[in-house]
Amino acid sequence: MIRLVRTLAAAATALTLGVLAGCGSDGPGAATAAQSPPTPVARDLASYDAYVVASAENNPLFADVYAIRFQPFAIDRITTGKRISSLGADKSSVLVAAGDENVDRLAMVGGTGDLLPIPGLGRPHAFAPTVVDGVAYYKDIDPAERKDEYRYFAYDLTQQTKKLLFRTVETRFDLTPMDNGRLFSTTSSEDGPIKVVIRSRTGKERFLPLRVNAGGGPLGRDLFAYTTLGVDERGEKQATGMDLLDLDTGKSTHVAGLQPVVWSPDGTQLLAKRIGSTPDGSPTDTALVLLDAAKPDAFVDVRTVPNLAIYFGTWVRGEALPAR
Amino acid sequence: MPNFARIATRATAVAAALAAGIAVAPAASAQSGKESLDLSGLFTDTVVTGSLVLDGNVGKLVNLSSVTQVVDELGRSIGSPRTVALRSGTGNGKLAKYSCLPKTKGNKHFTAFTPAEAFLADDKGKTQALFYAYRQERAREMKTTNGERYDSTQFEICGVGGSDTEGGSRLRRAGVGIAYADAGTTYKIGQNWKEGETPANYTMDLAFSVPIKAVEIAGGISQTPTNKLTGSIGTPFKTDVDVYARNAVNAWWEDSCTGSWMGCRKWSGSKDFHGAVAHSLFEFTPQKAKTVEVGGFQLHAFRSAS
Repeated sequence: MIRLVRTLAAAATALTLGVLAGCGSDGPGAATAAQSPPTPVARDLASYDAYVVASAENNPLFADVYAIRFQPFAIDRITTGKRISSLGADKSSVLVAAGDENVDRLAMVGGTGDLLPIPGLGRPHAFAPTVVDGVAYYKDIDPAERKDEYRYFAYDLTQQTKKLLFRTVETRFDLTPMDNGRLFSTTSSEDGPIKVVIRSRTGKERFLPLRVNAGGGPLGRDLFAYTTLGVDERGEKQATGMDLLDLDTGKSTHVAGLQPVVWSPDGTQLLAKRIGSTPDGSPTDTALVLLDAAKPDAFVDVRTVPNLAIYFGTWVRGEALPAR
Repeated sequence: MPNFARIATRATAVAAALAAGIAVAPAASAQSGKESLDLSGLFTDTVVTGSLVLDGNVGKLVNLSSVTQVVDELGRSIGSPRTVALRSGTGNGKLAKYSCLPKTKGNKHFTAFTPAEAFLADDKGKTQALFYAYRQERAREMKTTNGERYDSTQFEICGVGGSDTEGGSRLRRAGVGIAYADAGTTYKIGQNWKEGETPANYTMDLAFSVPIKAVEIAGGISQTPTNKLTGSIGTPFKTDVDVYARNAVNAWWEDSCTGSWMGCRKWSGSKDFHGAVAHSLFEFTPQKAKTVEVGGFQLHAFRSAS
């Protein structure tokens, strides 16, 4: 009798728990993204002016691609859970390095947010793509590993031809073509100061040291905009402002309280963000401002994007950005 | 006394006795002298937990402890949990049927650590788990929020192990778990475990092209087809590490009784060795990776046995 009663009681409890708990389990890969992805929406990427890498949780390790339309202002999430580490784009293509397969692989971003093989190139293990006029610049690590070298390539997205530009032992990043066949990049040894490197068509390199505590940033027409850093009471680096460095003269202009995001296509206007949160916003809000390279102190507010930390990106269309 | 009241009184008495650490024999009922006291539903959940320390190329579990909790046939706690400190463990990594080994050598930035071991021998049997840690430096080139460039560091931790019973005990769950001790931010970028019926052997892959090979236990579970392997970000029974579920992976074997409407009874469970394999992959900045190596990962082996 007792056993029967206990069995019935156990059955009733089990049924109750079953109903409350529901069914299903956490399958492998279920937690690779912080939240479940929304239903993909097909977007016309060509209708946007800029593409940025950003994170709603302000976690650069789990960043995604967002697209911005300036007039009227709109920002849409393009990828979800792709772990984007870098982005390059022109009017025709958006390329990223993404850790969706654990190590970084290059990919072309589709309108639904899918990461697609680059035609003729696939998804190589590579880093830091930039795209200028239909040519993708990127680097990889020599798979032979004999010299632990980085290799830098130019890949013509239309002709589907690849050219090895040069090799280095010390890594370069933000590789960007300049006029007269020159190449811009920055470099640093481990924990060492960041330097700008201008490489001529013949391979001769010129180094410009930046201030001791320098972060990164984008290259405009004449100016390299980079974040300047201070150290807080906990010993952690914090952004204090930005420097606009003239690569020809070596002169720089400091702008306090702003960090660079992306230059306009002609390289004369800089979309930047206010450091820290807005006065009444959360730390992940991004307050965007626009400044003219010729009058950097006279910046205007563009828009505060709530609940999204915007890091960097590429601006491909539209020159005149209206202030809000 | 009505039957319901008598049952409740008896259950309370048993629970109180267990909580006090008093052995309760399946003796005859004091009320009738005929009904035997039914302890068939009582199981003990055991979790062996330690912190992983990576030093040079050696992996070691420190601050090892064993927490036991008596539960009823539906997994409900009876009495208070009991904690026992254990000796820290470094595994030899040569046990043929326990392994998480890379197929390829990896590049110069890849480090394979010697496995760390969690081992417990008690009156219900033996529980053993080996945790193999692998580190891939320069995994990804990233930028900080300030635009500074850095190379990320990834860790894969593969746990493999299980339990065997003795002295008439029967196993209803056995498995391993891995967690990075941060409840606020997700650092886990990959995970894997096996779902479904328990095969004699299986392999699973995850991570930096470092396939993992592990052998699961020779069965002998007579009543099986429902016996299975499964996993989750949470442990199958409540443990302290569940607060880190967003950075956790758990894998275990379980007897079919665990999902049955009547729960696990004295005839439920297995007398054979059972276990599972859990894979986890994490990513950090190089600076954070250095701190993670000093006890950042909480690893555990768990068992539920009668």
